[in-house]
Amino acid sequence: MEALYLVPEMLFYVLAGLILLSSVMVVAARNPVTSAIFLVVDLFFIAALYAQLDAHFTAAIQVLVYAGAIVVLFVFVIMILNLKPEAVRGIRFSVGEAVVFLITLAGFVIVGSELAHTAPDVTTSGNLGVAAIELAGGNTYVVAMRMFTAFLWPFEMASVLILLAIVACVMVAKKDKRVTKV
Amino acid sequence: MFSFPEITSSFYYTAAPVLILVAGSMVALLQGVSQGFASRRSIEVTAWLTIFAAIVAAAVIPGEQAEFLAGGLLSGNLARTGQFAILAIAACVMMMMREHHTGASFFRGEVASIFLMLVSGMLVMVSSDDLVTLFVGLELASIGLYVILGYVQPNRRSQEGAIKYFILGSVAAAILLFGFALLYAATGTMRLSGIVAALPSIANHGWVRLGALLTLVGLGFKLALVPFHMWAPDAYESAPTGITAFMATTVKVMILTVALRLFSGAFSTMSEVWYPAMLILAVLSMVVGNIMALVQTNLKRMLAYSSIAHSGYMAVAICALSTTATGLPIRAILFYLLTYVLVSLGAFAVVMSLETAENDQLTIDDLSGLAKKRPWLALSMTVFMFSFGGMPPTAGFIGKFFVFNAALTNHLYGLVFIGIIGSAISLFYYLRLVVRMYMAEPVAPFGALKPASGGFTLTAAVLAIAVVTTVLLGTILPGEVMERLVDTATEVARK
Repeated sequence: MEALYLVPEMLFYVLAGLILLSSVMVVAARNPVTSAIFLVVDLFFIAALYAQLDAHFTAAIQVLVYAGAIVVLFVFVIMILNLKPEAVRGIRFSVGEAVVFLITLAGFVIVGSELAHTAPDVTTSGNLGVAAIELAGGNTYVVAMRMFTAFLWPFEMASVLILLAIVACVMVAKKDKRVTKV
Repeated sequence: MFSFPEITSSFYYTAAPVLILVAGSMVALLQGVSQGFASRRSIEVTAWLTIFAAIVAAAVIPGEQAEFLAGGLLSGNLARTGQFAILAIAACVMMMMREHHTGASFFRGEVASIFLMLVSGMLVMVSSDDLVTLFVGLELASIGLYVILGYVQPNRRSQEGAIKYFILGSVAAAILLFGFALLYAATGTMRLSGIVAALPSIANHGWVRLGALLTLVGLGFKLALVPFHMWAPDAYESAPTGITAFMATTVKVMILTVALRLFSGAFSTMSEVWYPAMLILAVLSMVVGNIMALVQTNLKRMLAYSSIAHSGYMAVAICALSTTATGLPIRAILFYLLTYVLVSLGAFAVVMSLETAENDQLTIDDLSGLAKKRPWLALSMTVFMFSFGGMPPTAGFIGKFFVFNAALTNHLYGLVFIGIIGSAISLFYYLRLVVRMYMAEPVAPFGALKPASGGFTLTAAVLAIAVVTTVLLGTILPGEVMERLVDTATEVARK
């Protein structure tokens, strides 16, 4: 029975590996549609990660909104724009790119070494444990209550942000006759 | 377990500027698609009414510190000062845009609407104690700026500048968000005040260290500190000058307000983590900014590099926060910010009153011999350049004095030495412009510059106010202003 304790941990590593793999595929795939499909896969695995953390509501929203709605829109856009697979470009590193790569690698090592600590032991009133969330009425209830009480102000401002983003998108996408070449 | 927030009248007083701006932006947006109210004139009426109502509302924000909606919204001196400053700058920029050739593009429904929304994002940012709200406010301001930068007067160059700013800005936002997430993961709270309380026991934890550093990178990017400055010259150069003036001033007000809350509050107990990083950023910004400004011929590009250097001076004062809990560095930063904002607005106002649609990238050559043709403009520009260079009797001198004084009090001798060398270098390019205006013959024909209008203009009014205040702040006012900043500084400084 001892070994069973390791299952969640192993599951995490499997999921994390799949997430990394599909993320790399999003960037590496030559066909934009393939990229989009791998993005869906990626987002599904992330949803699984949320589920593993007992954040069932976030997991469901992740699947519905990101994997379901947003990436489907991506695919639509790709099809409407009729993007062709990128022309093959051999992998050749220039000196500059190699330097950038090394710096990035060093950054990853530093970030990784800082992150490789266990979570600090802080108990704050802000954090509910899994059991307390169940007791309070479940994930959805707690998220909703938090969103409309403690986080009401950022929630309302986020709606302004989304409106601004929509207006901005229309402005950028609209064909403007005034564009000059200078 | 959950209680609905109590909405009191003082909440409405505090939230009023933001609410007014959002409401005004909705009206402008609807006007843009309406049949009868889409003209420039009616959009202007909405924009002016909104901005002035918001200024009045910001002036009466309660001065005593209180928090609403679980820290999402703060009242208090710093919030009031920051909101008032941002709104005043926005009003000045609108006045200058009105007489600029890009005015017709600016006062359109959708552009005015985006402008008002992004200003509301800035206000949200300067008056919040909550990481989520800070991020939403920052994105509101940033995304608005990306668009307004490239699409007010769309041409290839400004779109290129906007795209560069957008891509680098999104990466910086992601880094900042990662930092915030780590801080939350480590401390279990989204509140800056909660982080202060949680930190002492875990300040050396890897997550906290990384969180603080990534936050520093995100803020450094927005402040255009070297090496995160790559976007600034292109964005400043390519944007319509009014937007450049707006961006160069309000973004610094917004980010430095947050930086004050962070570095004198939340991160005050872990200065050994962020101090070395901030030191490097300050030194690099002062050196690289000033040296790169030397070789610029484009006026706006030169001002961009000079603003990078000025961010460096302000970072010096932030470094001084690392060892002291007193209000001196805070007041130094606020005073420096005030002088920087005034002088930048003024310098860009000079540029704007000379630009035409055909010649909207002025070079230093264009200003040669300006004193003969437009003596008042040349005189104003001279005052601004003196102030930027830190020469008495202007505000810039006093500002640098306070910053270096704060640094010296905290034994940052090397930093002050580099700062003074940087100032000496900067004098060369600031004074070169003055010499060219007064002692050189015109190189380019003056026909390319906008002729003097003859009568009263709003741009000239902004210019006159900036000149007079710059001189007053350098001579008789500094004591008075520093006295008034005491309350704000004690409010921010957490022991």
